Amino acid sequence: MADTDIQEALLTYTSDAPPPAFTLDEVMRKGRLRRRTRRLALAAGTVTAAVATIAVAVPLWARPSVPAVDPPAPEPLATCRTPFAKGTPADNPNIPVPGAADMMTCYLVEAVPRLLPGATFARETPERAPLEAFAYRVFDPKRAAETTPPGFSAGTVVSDVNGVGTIGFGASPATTDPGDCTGVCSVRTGPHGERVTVLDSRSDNGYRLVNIRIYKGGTEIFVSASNGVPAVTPTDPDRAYGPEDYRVGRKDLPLTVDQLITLAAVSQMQLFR
Amino acid sequence: MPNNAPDAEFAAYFAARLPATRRLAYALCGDWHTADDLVQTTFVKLYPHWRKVQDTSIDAYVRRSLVNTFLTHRHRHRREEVVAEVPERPAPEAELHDDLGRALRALPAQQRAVVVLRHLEDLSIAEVAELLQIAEGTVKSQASRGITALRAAMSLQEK
Repeated sequence: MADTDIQEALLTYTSDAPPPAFTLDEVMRKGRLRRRTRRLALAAGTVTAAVATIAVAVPLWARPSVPAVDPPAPEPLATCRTPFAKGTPADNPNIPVPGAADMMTCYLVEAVPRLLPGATFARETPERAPLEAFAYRVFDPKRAAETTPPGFSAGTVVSDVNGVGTIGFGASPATTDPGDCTGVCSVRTGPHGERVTVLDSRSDNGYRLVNIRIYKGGTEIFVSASNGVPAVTPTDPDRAYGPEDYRVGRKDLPLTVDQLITLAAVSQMQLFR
Repeated sequence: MPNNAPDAEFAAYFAARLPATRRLAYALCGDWHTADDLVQTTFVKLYPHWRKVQDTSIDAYVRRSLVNTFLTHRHRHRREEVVAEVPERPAPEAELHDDLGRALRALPAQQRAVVVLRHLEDLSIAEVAELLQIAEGTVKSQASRGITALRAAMSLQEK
């Protein structure tokens, strides 16, 4: 399905709109009420300007925008700065557990190499060490609409005797009903009874990408693996990457789907309670 | 005597942009009832700021507001999703419609927003990154994963 087909399909999909369920008059009446309420709140001093510095984001299951090296040079993994902070989780489901990024990093730098003895790990993005978890969006209660959903990410390019591939991890508040996946993904049960969805896609060029979502408590854990790396920088930098932009680096994924699920369905990845 | 010009301009903008805004909302959330809630909330939020929003950025302001409202709505209502009953013998057009809807809803919310903004709204990578406040590399990767997932889902349905 070409990009133009997708655009046409989306246009068709959204073309049979019923009459709107609201009118301009309703919008303007509610808008005036909102303006009045805001002015009153400002006058009463109950609203403060939100001054925010947000840790912006380069999520991690994201692919690098530059071609990866082949094979990646061995690099030290992220360091685990134990002991990480501990404390009581906040009531707000958007607030992660204390020390969330460190907890995720500590777990991944220990658990992933154990499953891939002899492998080397290269950074997926220039800013982060292999498997170093970071917050790609931080929830700010004063800017709730702009900072949800928050999330953490980590990733690495894996190289071993079988070739080169990638593994990525993520965690964010659980926002999606796994039932959405019916007919598209396979639905499984995780090792501790978690609901798991698996989307397994293969392209004609042999590129395989697996996206797994695990619903554990209040966290949607994401783990992804591929058997390739970006082949070239797209000639049109404004174009989204497609499977054709990846070079197959190994016959199959660095870890099996079962291994990925077992690896990610753990309490150390449950960053939102 | 009140100056009604801003209200008239707002009304004109509302009339002109309502269909496209509803399409965007529907592509994001997958049902018209929720889409209308999102669009109404977006225009209600826009109204008090109408005088301050520059002409050239109104569309961007509306898109940003709508997507943020959608992401917040997803989070608040995650346990209240409506699942339509699957008809026993859908018409071919309805089948295609349902397949794409299911495939879209299978994407994580932000990935879906990236795909819809790129391929329905035809925004550039930079515009999507600015709107969602994420890195351009993230937009590329999420668009790629989203499109790969859509293609996989649609090809599965075709088989």
